[in-house]
Amino acid sequence: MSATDLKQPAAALPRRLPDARSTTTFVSTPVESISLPQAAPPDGGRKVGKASDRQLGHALKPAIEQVVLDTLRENPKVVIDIVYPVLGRVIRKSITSALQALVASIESQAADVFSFKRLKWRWQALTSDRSYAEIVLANSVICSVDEVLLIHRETGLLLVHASRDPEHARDADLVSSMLTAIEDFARDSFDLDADDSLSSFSMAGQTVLIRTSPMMLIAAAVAGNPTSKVNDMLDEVMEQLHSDYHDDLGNFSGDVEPFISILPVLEACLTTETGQTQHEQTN
Amino acid sequence: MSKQIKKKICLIGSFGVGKTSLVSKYVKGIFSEKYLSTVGVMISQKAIQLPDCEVLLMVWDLAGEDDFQGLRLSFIKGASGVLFVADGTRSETLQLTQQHIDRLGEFYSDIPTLLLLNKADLKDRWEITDAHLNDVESRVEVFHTSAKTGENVEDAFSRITEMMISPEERAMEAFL
Repeated sequence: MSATDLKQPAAALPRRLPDARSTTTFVSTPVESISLPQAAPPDGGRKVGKASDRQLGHALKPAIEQVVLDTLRENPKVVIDIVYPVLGRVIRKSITSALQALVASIESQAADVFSFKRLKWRWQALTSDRSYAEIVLANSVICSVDEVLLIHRETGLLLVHASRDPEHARDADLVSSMLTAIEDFARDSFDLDADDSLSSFSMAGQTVLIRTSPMMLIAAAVAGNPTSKVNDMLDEVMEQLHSDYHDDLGNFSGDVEPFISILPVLEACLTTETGQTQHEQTN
Repeated sequence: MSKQIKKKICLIGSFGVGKTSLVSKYVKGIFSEKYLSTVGVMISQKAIQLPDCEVLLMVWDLAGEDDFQGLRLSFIKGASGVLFVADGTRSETLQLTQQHIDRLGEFYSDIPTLLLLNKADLKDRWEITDAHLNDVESRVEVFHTSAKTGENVEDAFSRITEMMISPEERAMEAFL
């Protein structure tokens, strides 16, 4: 039975379908279950064809699965060769992320091993049914947004900067221009479209997340593994600022005063994600 | 305290004309020069106090290219001013600079520009004469500079800064 047969008008189908059933022994779903219209509507043939395609696919599925499984048993190397490059990258990335989180967690724990916070956690462990290790894990820092820069995309000029460390403010203008240059460099080097952009780069447990719109660029320096919440937060801020400051960004000629009011928005991005906060989100 | 305005300017010129030396003479605390050969640009900053406002210059020193095609145009976009630099002791650098000025005009016709003829401390060895300059001086203001002695370097950057600040921006500063 060809595809052309299946796409014939519905009136012609009742004659052919029983033939198909009789010659195809592995059909598991009775063809009678296909509901055919009595009178063919203008697109009746197409609808019946789609339904028949689904039935055919369903009918062939067990046989195809069996063929694939037999092939895998007889020659698994073929599949391994195909999947290995993908799996290798995924596994490496996963291990790197896990190690980064572990290092960040150990550093955090070592920093305040005798602190009041630790004593409080021990008290919580004593007075609850949770173990001390569980409480420590829940409170360990997963990631921390340490610095956020809002940059005018065309000029690379810094519009607003928020940082946990005021010392970083001195170099923020230079960093903004250099980030823009690196972004342009990456796009030119790989011959990418103007809409494409660098989305992040990582080094030694520090990740710089980048969000771009046609007129601005947000760069966030994150210690540890950026969570989906941090990524979502940056997306939302980008959308909000793009909408609220569209005209100011379009008319920008070097005066950053119209953007000063954005500072509290960027400061709100300087968040810390812990195991506890993630746990709270899932619940 | 007066308001701050930020401006991006680019330095363009052939290899060895002294662009990076000029920037080094003019600003302190620049990013490592290694970015010039890797990414193709070295960025530095300098704050200039004008009567009405403070201007923070972000200076993009582009890697020397004899061919304009070799320049990354994406690095020039958004610039409020361009300083072309030629070496007074090598006349061919002036010819290349004239080509750069022509080509830049095709993409960014309304950007203020200056030409810095560098190595003024070696004027006895200059190949570029007044005759060479007749044509170019009609199109662009020329400064004779020396990155070695600092001659005219400050003046050239101040001049391009003045040219970049629009009368509207000045008026607004005076009003505020």
